[in-house]
Amino acid sequence: MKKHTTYSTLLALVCASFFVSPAGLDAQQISRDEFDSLAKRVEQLEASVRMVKNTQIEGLAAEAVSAMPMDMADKESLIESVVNTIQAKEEGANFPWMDTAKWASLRKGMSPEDVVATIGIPTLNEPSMHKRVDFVYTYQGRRVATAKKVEGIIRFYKGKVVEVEAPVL
Amino acid sequence: MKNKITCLLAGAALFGATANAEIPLTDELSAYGYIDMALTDGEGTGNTSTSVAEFELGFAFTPAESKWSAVAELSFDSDTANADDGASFVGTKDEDSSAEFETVTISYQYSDSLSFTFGNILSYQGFETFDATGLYQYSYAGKGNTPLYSAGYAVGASADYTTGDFDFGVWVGEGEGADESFEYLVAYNGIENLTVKVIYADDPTYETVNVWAAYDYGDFTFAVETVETDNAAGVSTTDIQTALVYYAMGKAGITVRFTDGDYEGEDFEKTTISPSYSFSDNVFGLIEFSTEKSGNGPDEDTAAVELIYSF
Repeated sequence: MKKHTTYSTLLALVCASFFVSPAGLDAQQISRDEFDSLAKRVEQLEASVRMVKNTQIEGLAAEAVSAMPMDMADKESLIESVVNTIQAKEEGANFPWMDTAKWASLRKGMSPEDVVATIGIPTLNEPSMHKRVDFVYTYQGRRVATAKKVEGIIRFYKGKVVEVEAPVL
Repeated sequence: MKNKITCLLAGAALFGATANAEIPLTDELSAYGYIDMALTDGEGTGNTSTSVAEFELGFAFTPAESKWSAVAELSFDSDTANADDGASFVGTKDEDSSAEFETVTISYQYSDSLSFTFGNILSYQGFETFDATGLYQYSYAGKGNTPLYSAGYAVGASADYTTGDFDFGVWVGEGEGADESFEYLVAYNGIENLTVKVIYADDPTYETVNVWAAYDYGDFTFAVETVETDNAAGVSTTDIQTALVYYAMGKAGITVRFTDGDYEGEDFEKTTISPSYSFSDNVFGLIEFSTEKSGNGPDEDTAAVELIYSF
């Protein structure tokens, strides 16, 4: 209680001296030029800070998107590209035969082993009722992106490819 | 047998499983079969029949990592013949239905070249397959739509060896009495598009020599076959030759077949023309016109329409 009173008295004296004694105020005053000079320096410092901050952000952003195109259209394209890549990897893992280039490399006269080596194991391996077809390799699946069902067919006679129906991919 | 399963190692993907055969039931077990419907029309009244000629259902157990495999085929058939007795509008119907085993075997693949099979095994004999799915026409070359061969399915054991160009096979089963029945096969596949088979059957009640050759030349398939069977007394019961030409025209085709020789002690001739069409890899249809003459009897004409669905 005593300590609280002492602090209150001291504060009152300081305030009184502030209002009663003009000399006290004069000691705190700065000139206009000083003030302007200080304001200018503050502005310079703030500009420097902004520049540093921007540089840091740009650096971080540049690192993050260094491999990415920056305009909106390209960003959408980038997203599509990423999705397509993921889907392609999924299709490649599950349906390695969903590749137009692989089907284009198939030729009449190839053996079943050659076909499997080129486009993978068929979904179905069935005999055919056609007298000039012994068995049929059918490749069936759905595109990961569109869920569209696609089917490719390869017919064999006497151990050789006689007909290829490539899937519409 | 054309609809024999061609095995493929199973491999499952996330969204698509690889089938061993037509209908994979598990990784190791698959089902297959066919439905054969036919309508035949002979000369005169009462010789028309419609039938589900056969419904075959087969199961194949083929573990990928095992040398053992098994096949079981069940065949169902029913024939309904309209015998017009004049007493009723539709005539009477004689129904004859049956269910029986065809191939029921357990096989052991000793190596890529050598295998052993036990069970109910189809004879080595014949260019004309036992199952309708392998025929180029509806009827068999024998009299009254019967096969020329002296054996079909029989219980026994066989050993089959292949060198690539040559196939060798021997089958032994139980014959009449205490004697065994044997069949021997030598097949040559060394020339592209050519298959030649020689089969000798030695049974207590008959001996048969069957030789046939088939050659693909462009869209043509040529086949010739001879079957000679002697009974136990050494008397020839069948000495007959057959020639077949099949011409493929895309999905359509036409078969012409001539048969001539001695059949069951009589001169026998048969001529068949059969246009056919593959509606898909699973559906095959044909029509057939045949005329046959046996001994001094009259020519007998027969027409048939057949539709086969395989699965």
